[in-house]
Amino acid sequence: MTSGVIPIAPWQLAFASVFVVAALCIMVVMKLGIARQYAWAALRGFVQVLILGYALSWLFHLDSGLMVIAVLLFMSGVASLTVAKRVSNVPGSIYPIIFTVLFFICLLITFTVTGLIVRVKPWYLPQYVIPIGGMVLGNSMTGIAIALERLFKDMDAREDEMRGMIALGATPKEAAMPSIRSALRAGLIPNINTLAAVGIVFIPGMMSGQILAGTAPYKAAPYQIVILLMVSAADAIGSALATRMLYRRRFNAEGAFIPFAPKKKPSFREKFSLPQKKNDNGH
Amino acid sequence: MFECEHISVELVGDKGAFRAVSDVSVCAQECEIVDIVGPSGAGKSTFLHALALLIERTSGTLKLDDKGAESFSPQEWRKLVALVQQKPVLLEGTIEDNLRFPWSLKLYKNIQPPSAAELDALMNRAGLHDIALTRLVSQLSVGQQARVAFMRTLITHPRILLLDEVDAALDAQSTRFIGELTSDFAREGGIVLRIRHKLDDNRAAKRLVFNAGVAHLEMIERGETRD
Repeated sequence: MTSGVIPIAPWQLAFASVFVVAALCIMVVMKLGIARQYAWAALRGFVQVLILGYALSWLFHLDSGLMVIAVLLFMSGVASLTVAKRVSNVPGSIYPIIFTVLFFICLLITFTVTGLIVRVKPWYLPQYVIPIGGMVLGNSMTGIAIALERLFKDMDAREDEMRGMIALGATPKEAAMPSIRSALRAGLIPNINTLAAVGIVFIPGMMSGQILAGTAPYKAAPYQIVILLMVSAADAIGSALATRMLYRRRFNAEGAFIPFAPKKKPSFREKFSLPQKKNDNGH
Repeated sequence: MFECEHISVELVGDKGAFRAVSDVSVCAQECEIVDIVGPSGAGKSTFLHALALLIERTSGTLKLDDKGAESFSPQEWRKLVALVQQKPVLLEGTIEDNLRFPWSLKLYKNIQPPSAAELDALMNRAGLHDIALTRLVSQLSVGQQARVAFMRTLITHPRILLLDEVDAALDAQSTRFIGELTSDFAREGGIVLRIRHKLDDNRAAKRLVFNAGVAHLEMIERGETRD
């Protein structure tokens, strides 16, 4: 990237808080009852991104492959927690499997891009590996969460049909396959929509960032294309792996379907009907 | 011979775990029909599902011709000990798609699919001779759908039929045809265990009477009927 960014001084950053005030005013005047949560979330976002900025600067300065892998591990861990929290109607903890899948996808796709396509040197160059890894994780996380939610919901809706198939001799995989397909479709369709609208409806995040940093837009475009394609692959592989590794949870050792009624406390976000977190992964 | 010994099933309900079926045993010979009766919630359906390995049993052994259920794969067992659900669950498509559905499963890979003549003969026996195999199942009446679901199990040639009140919500004609198909199945050497609420049709030899999870066996005298 070329230098071209106009730096934002602390007083300028403080000035940006008028945006928060504007949003808060609307929430208070309209009595939405979410002003307190918004103020807290805005503060969190502010601090988190600020810390991220310094943490990444430190990481880039450190220039250590091991540290880069450690950061990817940490990011996979947090992404897995987000998925595990969102998917409710499955017995047992799905965290270890989601973590394994996400970390595997993150390594596979990130290093395919940085090693084979961009060819960065050294192999762990954090300026490339960390943001790309983040985009892979953010998208797979959302894709996997949507796919798993749909998988178990669809299996519950098909309970009678699946029991009928199993009674005729179907294996759990055969009985679950229509739900697995429906789940993968649900996980992948947002991606198809993004691919179809990108460049016309919106300028994707990574390209915007590069343009702001002074890169010529025609040079930024190939990067963005690589990212978009990489993200769709990550999404597809991640959802396929996660659904295939977890559908069996709803069947017992003899291959019979187990109905499951979760009795779970609503999460903070569900309780206050806040929107699910958007993934800010820059495309 | 089909033997079920000391079958117990524990389920988890709103108020915690409870014994839905408690130490129930029954044994049936070839050509025999066993009626299963008792009030709602007495454990009849749970018992049948446990026999087809569709609900996990807490204890008890299942044997077919002295071979334990463990010596079969669960899929093989369910093909031999076939449960027909109360609510017919058909897949989207035609009658023929549904009748041939089992042959889309791995289990039937090496089993010869039924011939067209076989399907026609079965349709006749089920009283569906005036309906084409290409008719969409969504266009059938509930009774006709139930007959298709019943035939779909019959055509896989099970040894034992487990009928979970298949005629509970059916018209008289469908009930009659299903009754006749059931008797034919038993006459040809099959074993039938069926849950019934309606009047007995005097075909059964034994009656398993359920009450609150426990059951006792009664022999049925010829000529006796019971509601």
